[in-house]
Amino acid sequence: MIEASLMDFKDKIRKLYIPEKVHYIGVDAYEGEEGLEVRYWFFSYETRDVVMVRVSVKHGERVPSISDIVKPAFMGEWEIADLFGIEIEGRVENFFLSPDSPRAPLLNKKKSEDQAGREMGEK
Amino acid sequence: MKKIKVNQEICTTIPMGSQHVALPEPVKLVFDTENEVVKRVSFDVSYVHRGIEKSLTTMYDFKKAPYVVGRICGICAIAHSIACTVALERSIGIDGEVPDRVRAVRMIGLELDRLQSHFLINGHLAEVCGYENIFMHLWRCREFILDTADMLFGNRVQYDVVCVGGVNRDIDEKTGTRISEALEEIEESIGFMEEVFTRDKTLVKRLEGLGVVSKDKAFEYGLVGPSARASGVKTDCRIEDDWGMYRDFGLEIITMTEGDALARCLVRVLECFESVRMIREALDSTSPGEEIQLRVRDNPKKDAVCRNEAPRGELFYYIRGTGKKIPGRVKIRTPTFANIPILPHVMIGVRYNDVPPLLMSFDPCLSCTGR
Amino acid sequence: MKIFELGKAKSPWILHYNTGSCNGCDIELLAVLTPRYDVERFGMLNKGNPKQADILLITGPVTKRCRERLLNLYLQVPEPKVVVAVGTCSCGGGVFRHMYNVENGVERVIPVDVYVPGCAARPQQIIDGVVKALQILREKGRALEVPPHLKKIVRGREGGIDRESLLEDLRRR
Ligand code: SF4
Repeated sequence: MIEASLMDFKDKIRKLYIPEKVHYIGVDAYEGEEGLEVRYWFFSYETRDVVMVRVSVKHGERVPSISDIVKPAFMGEWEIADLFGIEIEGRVENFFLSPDSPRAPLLNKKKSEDQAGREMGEK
Repeated sequence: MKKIKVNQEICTTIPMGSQHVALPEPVKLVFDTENEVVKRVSFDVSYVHRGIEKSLTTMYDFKKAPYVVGRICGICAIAHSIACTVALERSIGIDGEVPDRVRAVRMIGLELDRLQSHFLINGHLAEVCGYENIFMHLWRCREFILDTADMLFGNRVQYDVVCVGGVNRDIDEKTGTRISEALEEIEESIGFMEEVFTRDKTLVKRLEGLGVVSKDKAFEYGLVGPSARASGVKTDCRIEDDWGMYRDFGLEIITMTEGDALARCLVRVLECFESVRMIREALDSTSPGEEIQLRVRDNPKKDAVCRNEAPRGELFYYIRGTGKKIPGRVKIRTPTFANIPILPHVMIGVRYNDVPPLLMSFDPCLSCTGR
Repeated sequence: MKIFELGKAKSPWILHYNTGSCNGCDIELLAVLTPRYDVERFGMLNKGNPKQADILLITGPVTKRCRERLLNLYLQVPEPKVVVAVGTCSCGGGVFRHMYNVENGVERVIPVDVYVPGCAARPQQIIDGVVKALQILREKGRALEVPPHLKKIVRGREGGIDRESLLEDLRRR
């Protein structure tokens, strides 16, 4: 696992990522007690290890895109931009969501909407 | 992405989807073409977004998760279930204790699934090439595989046989022998499929040299599964992250170097032989009657990942255990999600009538992508 | 009249639309069209064109993005038309019920005539559902053939001219 900040994570990824040796798996975000973080997953063909690059982000902060280093990364970035409401460079509006679905559904809210919906359905 | 200059005046825009005969699933592709040659592609894959990742962290507890994730995609359902259970077991800390019989049954399920998926997509590819005869033949052969699955797990498509800590059903002696017989029949039909895709002049001419992906490009775009192997990338998650007994059985990674649509097809065909061999080995290696379910007392508490080889390629699960019944986050990266970014690049410069076979040769599964 | 009716009953064309299902029911639907189950013996063909279709086979719980497309397709299919919801998740949401991006079933968007439950629905079930849909199609077709204000005049029967009951009437006399 590699910890990185918003300033230097691109350098760290550039150092890590060699297309023939390292396979890019995906990008993911998570909101825990420590706050929001963006995670980049890589797999090394040589050591057969999954490597995670962790970047903590504050809400509303702009995250640069890594698709100049890792070419296929743009789709995953658009996805988390939609599902977590993270501002990522070059994002496309409503890549996954439709105009009337809830905004940033994977963020923790006080009571998530589908839970509320479920309770309504049970009543 | 590189900006490509497109002259708007002489371009014709052809939308394909979201409902189209060649596509069993809703996806929208918009092509800008100039004299039938594709100049620009844009895609919309969000038609099937349902929000399964969210529901796993709010609605369903971890014991139900394998059945829910199976509903992400019906073609590779068991691959999802297995990846999810293995990740959950690693998170709980019982992955070392899983009995060999369980591993064998899971392997049989996954390989059967792979067989039917490869038959399905190769048949479909033949259909979009305009070769309906082969489509019907291959789908007739596919029914033998589904019959076997029906015999084993009681359902044709959604097996639902994997659960956390084991499997729900064992394979008894009698069924085991019947499967061995059925496998011979299946092997025969794989031979037929191989003959079609190597000897049939029409199909070979149509698919040869279509949508070539070089090895460098495949690495650069992080292709997975048969599409990567057809370009010479030696990767297979069954070997790299072995939850079963693939390494013991000496699974062979099949690679080709051409990287065109035909090579992608042939890799799938040859993989089928390998799958049949794996099923035989798994049946012989263990005997029925062993324990098939562990008692699970703990909740998932660690972070865990699993990479599993679905029929379409690498399937990645990440589970964040919080010590509660419901995990904190489940991240699913599906194989098609990794294979889509290259599509706009290989499609540029291809004639429009070659687009459906090219698309199908990458074996896209949009239900996986959308989740 | 008769020849049209015969034609409709013997060659219903299918339009299949996936509204966010898991593909399980879709591949079973395709399996129905292939040699083992061979639904073509009822004259059914899978055509991608809504304007030529008679039976709409819908799978999936209807995601929000698919809703307008589904409605659009439904409106494009000419009368008489029958809607068959294939799979548990299209009947009422199934596992996807109450997820944030789904509409909990096809019936929330368009009227459904035949429900085929099962996850995944077996080919036999699908054939059964489609044959039921054929009957409904015929009834709907008859109801269409006679304009409503003439219905009373045509032997005072609901649903227009019914050949069997006419014959029965004749026999009775
Ligand atoms: S009913 Fe089940 S198998 Fe069929 S589409 Fe829905 S989830 Fe998939």
